[in-house]
Amino acid sequence: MKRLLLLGFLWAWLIPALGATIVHESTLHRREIAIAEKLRCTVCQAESLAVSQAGIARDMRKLIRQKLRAGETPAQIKAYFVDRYGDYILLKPPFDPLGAILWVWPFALVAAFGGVAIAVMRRRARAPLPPSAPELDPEDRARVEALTRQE
Amino acid sequence: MGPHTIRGARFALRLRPIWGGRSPFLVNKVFCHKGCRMLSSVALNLIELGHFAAYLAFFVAIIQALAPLAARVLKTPSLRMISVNAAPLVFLLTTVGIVTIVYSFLTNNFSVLYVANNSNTHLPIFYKVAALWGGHRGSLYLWVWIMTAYTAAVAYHGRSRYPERLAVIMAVQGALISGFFGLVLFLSDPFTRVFPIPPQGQNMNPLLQDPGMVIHPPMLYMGYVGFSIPFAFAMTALLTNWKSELWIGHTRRWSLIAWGFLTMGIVFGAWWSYYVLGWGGYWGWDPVENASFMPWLMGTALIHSISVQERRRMLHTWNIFLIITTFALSLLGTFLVRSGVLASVHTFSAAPGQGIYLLSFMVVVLTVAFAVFLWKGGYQRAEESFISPLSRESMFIWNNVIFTIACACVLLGTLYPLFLQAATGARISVGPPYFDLVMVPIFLVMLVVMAIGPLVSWRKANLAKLRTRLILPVVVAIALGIAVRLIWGAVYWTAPVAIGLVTFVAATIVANVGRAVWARKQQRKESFPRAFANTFLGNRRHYGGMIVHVGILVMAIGLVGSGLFKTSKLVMMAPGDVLHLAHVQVRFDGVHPVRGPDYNAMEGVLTILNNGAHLYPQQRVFFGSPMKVTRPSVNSNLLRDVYVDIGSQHDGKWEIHLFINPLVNFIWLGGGIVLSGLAFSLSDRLGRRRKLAVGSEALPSHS
Repeated sequence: MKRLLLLGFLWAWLIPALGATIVHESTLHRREIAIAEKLRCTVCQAESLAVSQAGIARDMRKLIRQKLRAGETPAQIKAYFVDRYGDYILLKPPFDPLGAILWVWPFALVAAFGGVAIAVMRRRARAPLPPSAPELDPEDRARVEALTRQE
Repeated sequence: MGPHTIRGARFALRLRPIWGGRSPFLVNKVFCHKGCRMLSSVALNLIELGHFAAYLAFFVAIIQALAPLAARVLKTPSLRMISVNAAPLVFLLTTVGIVTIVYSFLTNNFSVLYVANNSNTHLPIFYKVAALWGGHRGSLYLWVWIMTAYTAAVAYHGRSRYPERLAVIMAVQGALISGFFGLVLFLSDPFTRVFPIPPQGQNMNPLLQDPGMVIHPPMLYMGYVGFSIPFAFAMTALLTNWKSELWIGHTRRWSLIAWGFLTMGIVFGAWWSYYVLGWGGYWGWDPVENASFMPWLMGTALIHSISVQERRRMLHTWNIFLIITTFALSLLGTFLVRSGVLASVHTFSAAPGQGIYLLSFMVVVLTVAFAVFLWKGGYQRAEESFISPLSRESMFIWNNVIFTIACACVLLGTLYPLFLQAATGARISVGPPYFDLVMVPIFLVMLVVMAIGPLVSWRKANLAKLRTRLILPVVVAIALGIAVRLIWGAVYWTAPVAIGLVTFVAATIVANVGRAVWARKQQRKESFPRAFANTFLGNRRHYGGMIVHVGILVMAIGLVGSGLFKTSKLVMMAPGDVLHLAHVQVRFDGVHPVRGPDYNAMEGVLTILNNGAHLYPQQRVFFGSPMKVTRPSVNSNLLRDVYVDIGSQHDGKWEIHLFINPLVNFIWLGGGIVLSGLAFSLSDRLGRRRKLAVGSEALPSHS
């Protein structure tokens, strides 16, 4: 019974799945948005072409649509925009000398922090405790004792 | 001040019939007898009282910062009390300032530059109060005011709990307050007057006129500023060799409070972005959003790691480092938003000149903080050793590692384009595609740690026991992951993995709670609901944390659903047209003009044929602003939102942007659960004190 209740509760997580009805069709609009999401609206502050309501973003989306209709691949379309606006237009910076650090960084962090955490745990597991902590004031000691008594 | 302003008021009066409205300060002898005219000029110039109070608060805050130092130098310990007593006074004086600004807004006192720039007579009263933080100057003043409020609260809280260190805590706060007051008073003074008095103010930024935006900035600031309290505690602990046991518990509670406000601020910001900006999303990895997210990530690491210091007496220096970093990131967030160095959709109130001040202030605070940390950090050291790599404390360390990595990734992605441009002039963009790719795996690993962490016991975990506890959740999670994969199809690898992991965490929490309740039921022969309630009430801190975790899971479901499965269509529609999208059919019925309190709008009417509900998206034009503002309309149920924008018209057809966003309500629901869990966790102390009181009454009868 207990197990059944538990399982029932867990499968209840599936209910949301009903909401996420997926549209499998790959319409022109979907392909257009998929590309526009990766490009920056050049006159906006920090918006992609997909969400911007600026006139130029609208025109650029139209251009993407035309190029898709003409049979160009997403890579070709992106290359076209990069030719005209530079790498600035790519919201995902490319792996080149300027952008490389952005891609190396997460792995470097994992290595550094993971390594440090393991090293610290190892060392702390072996090392004897530092006797360094200064003695408590009498009044502090009294308060600690009072507090521990209360616990 | 003086005669010229009053002359200005008469000038304004002449224009009165044009825009109507009745403001007390514009009352003239035409309408009123002589005494009333006196009152009008007093009301007009009341702002100067606030200005004076703010200056006074600035000087008192400086005294507050220096008193303990003076006490030490002059060897007069009694001087330290000045610091403690100054805190409520600074709060009171700053409040006088804020009240006069709000009063100036309510009375349309356009002789105050800030009021003239951010309000007009048509603005609804609700927004007139909120206009206080609608611009740069006022929001910085609000920042300072919140800081003085926190400081006064700590002064009250600490008067009996930690009286001997309170003066130093107050001094640290006083230094921070006077630093910010310097910025407010000398570089962005909200009390500045203007002459001639403009007859009408400009409007509050139209995008900010929304309840979500009214709540979002104060909550966010209460989060940012709240982290100054742990900072002050940590500085005091370092400077006075305060024993860890005596300060870490208080710091934990203040950190949790700040974290709660920051969480609330971020969720309300997302809410506002979703319901007002009309782009169909709630989070865009925008630099300003990142600026609030970074302190949240470090704050989350902090509230976990602080438990280790409390329970296992280790990680002392790391915690102080986290506290300083979290506060530094809060300052950085303020700097990034307020200095205008970032290109962001949120920089409504940038003021470049002040960037230098904020940056220097930040550099000074951090240099001093890290200098103290390096100089005295040695006294705050671990007092117990680490026993096993499989223990609760090690899980907390992994939690910290992951959150720190997440924060460092967001930090680089946000700041690197700025550095690159400053150093080489090259411009690159780091946007949502980058952050999604980098952060999603990190979040998934977080879920794994979140599932296992609470099951592992302190000191040393029993591996066999842990394994049996994990088997069922793992099986259920994998089964559900496969089910999701079958239902949704192979569109995104993240969906089944994320939902599988969410289930994994949920299963471990349910199993954990279930075991505890079952054990209690068996041991004490309590009924099931009673055992359930008593289990939760008996360890509020732990179960409060578990409720927060459930809230995060609910949010995660919303993020996965709306992030991966949103669909949209942008079409031109004539009245009568029907649009199909993801099993939803929407009919466009036409448009009609609507007039709001301070705007004219073109309102579209659409009908969702599936349930008959109507949608009313608007295109608003605010008075005194050339900008067109779209206001989306949303019909939501738990499973999906139908979200519509209306755009411009061409040849009798209107541009309709329809989004179907699944599961967005899970995000808001999850946010609510997180906050209630936090409140439950924080209620711990109160409950225990009550129990203690009962216990001490019972004690004499035993003896």
